[in-house]
Amino acid sequence: MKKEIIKVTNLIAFFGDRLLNRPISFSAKKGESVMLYGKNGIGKSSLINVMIGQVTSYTGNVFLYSQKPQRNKFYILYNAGVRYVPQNPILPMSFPIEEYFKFFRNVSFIDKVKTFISKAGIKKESLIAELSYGQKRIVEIILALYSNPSCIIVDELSSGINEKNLDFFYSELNAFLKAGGIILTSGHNKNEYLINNTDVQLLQFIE
Amino acid sequence: MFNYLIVVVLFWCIGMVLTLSAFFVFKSDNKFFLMTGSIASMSGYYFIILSNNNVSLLYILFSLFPIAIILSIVILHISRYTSQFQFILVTLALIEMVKRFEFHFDRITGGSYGVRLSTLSFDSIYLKIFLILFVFALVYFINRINYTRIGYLWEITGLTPLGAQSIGININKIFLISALASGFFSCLGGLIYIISYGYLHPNDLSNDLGLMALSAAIILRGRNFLVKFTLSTFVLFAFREILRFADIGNTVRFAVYDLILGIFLVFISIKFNNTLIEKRNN
Repeated sequence: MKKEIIKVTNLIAFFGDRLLNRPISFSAKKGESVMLYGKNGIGKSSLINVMIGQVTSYTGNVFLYSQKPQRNKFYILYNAGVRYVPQNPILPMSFPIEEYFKFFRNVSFIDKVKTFISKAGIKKESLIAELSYGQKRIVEIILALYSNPSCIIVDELSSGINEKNLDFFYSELNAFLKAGGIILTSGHNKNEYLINNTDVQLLQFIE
Repeated sequence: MFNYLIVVVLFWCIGMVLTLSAFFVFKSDNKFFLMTGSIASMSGYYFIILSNNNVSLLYILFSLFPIAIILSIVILHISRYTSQFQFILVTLALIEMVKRFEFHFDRITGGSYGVRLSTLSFDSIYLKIFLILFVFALVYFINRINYTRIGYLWEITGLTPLGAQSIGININKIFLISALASGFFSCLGGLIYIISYGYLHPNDLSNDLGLMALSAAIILRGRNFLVKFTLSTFVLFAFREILRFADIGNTVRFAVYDLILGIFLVFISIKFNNTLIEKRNN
């Protein structure tokens, strides 16, 4: 039997004294993907924020790699292989894109990233602030994909990305799933399946 | 003339070291931006308390630095659990507490007259020149650090804490290191002050100096560190000292200094506002 990597039981996120969702439970093993969907303001992003430790006001249990997420300690999860891509890019705006890549200790994947980025029409001397919204998201997703991950958490994968790149990401994520990775995404529409060929565990939020 | 020049440059050096103390903290997290003021003042007053017991310089080195560093860690923890506004209030309250302490225990601290530290001052011109060269070398070294991986690490943590975490940076460690660096540099500033002047006026090591250092640190973000650093610290610290010796009368002196400081602060506030907007956009 495979071990459950993500395990969420009876989770409710709070915003102040307002409940953001009905209690929700799910789990994911290696090679599985979970998609959260529902209308705006129902708490999809908050749930993801709980899972990475950014929101600490919640009830229920959350376990990633058999440990609870803690505030400002995402690096523990990062070292376990968890990659997080938020809906709004969180790159340092005043950095040239080339200098930003210097942070990554594992340099082997950077060449792959650089070739993809030059294909997407991003100059490596340009500041991150000069990139468009979609280009910033491409940089973040491609960094998450190629940095040897074991679990990818993406908030709204499709927002701001054109069809050609999206197809490429889908095929890459598909390969990632087949290699035993875990994917957790969120979206508004259940027809917008993450990966066309494999089973997706769909989780609907109900008011 | 030469002695006068040395005094000005020494004060400039003190300003530089205090600015470095604010710079590290501000670079990693703008929440701490009043911390340097409180630490600078507290280390200064701790100096005064020690000075009446005829202690040696070595004793101060081994007792002052640990206390300042412990203080910086305490302030770091306070800042972790408060919002930005609350933290500013807490820091101001701490500064006020130190001030009250200073005026209440005037037998130890000298009250509003200040205190003469004859046992600790060194008249040797060689020591002073050595200190000046040491500080300039330190600034050059910090300038080099800014363009290495560690310098970028500091900057990315300040710009986007969540973004820094999402590429695997332990931001708590960065906060701790910058707090320690801040404590160390503010202490060094106090030490240079004592060695070079031998007299300590309460106004010189209160939040006043710390806030000036903070103002200089705010404009340092981005490129051209060395040019910005030299210019801002010169205007805020060395120029103030030059005016003190100028033969133009008190009223004119304060007017000129306040005018220049005012223009400087306008530019700083614009820059600081831009930094905040940049942070919010992230």
